Amino acid sequence: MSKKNSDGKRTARDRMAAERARRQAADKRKRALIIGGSVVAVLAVAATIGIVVGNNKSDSNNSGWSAAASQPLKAPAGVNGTVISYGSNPNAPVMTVYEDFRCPICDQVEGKLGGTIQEMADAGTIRVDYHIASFLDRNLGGNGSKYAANAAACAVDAGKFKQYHDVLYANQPDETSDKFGNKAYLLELASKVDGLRSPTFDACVNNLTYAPWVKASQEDFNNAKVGDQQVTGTPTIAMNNKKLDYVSADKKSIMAPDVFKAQVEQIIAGMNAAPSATPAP
Amino acid sequence: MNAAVAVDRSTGPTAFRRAIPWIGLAARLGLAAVWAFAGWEKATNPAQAAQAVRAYDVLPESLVEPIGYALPYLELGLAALLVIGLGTRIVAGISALLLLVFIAGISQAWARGLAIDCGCFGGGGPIAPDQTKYLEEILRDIGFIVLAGWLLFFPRTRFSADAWLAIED
Repeated sequence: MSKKNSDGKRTARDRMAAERARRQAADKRKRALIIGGSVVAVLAVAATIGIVVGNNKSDSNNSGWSAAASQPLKAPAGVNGTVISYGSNPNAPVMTVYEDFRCPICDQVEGKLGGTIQEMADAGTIRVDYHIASFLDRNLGGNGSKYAANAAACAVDAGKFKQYHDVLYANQPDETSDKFGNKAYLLELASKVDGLRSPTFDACVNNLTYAPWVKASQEDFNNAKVGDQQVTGTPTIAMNNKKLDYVSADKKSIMAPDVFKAQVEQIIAGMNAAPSATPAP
Repeated sequence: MNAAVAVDRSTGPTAFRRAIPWIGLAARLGLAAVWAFAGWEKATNPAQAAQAVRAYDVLPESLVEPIGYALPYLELGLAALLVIGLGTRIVAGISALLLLVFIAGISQAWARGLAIDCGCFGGGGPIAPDQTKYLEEILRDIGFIVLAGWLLFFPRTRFSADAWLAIED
């Protein structure tokens, strides 16, 4: 009797304990779910905020450019198509230069050979046709190539393209830096060119006035050919349908200015000789 | 039976067992600091963060920007959860997984001969080949995985929301 009674008590106690354990386990599961759910929710919200913030920031950057670039095409003053010509003699033999303002080799070429090229253009020996490409933004991220190209086009209107072009290369940031994507920096550099800054120029830089032209210039670059060879990169320098060498014989640096000049003179001599051999009809 | 366990717990803990929640606290806050710094440096420049992702040359272009933008905030979210100690084990698991993904990304860049900065704490993108620090970057990430791994095995830590909510494990 007493045994039976204590058995009954035990089963009752066991049942209560089991019930308590079950409820505890359920509580634990519920809490684990709540915690797991809140962790996932916090991270999902954080990631969403990131995407929204990022898109807003880049939209304000890129949609500014795409909106500006979809305006009607307008070329800078005196510019025919997408070529900016420089030199004292418009009828001189043409040297075509394909450049991107963010391209480091273009900077090296400008640094070493720019002076010689300018001398020959100023002397009327050659006319330089600049094609400004702006594809490096796509490779490197940012807007520096496009914004700098736009600012350079603005400088054409002010008649200071070459000077501003030289200042941009002299202050070219590291390839991975998008410093040229900062309009204020482009304007700051423009101050180094006497008489370039004006309300018109500043507005042109800030409003990306020549964005459609910069875009057209890049499209022309994509299809550009020297002779029957596709232009594949910057810098490309060409005369009389031939690409010019600008790398030194040991391939380690840019060639010496006098070697480059001799090459140009040889081509001009060939161009002058050719018409007498096969006179144009 | 129950009583025996209770006795065991009150008299049994060694110095090590008593130290576990404190070591856990240090690991938690250490990992939180890592995520907070990494996330903050990237969140301040989302375009650069996206560029860093792009430089690994793994993801299709359509995913580069969403991932680049989301990642910094995901890291900040992990940092916040670690600071308050909510869902420590899950967060440690996600942290370890994310770090493994980073190591995989750095390793493939190394193996393929890309020259990039990992962009782990901001920056990122292509760099000069002699400036790469792949080994250091991977070892550093392994160090962080050790922190995450500790929390994965010992998720009970001092001053945590988990403890306050009285969750066992």
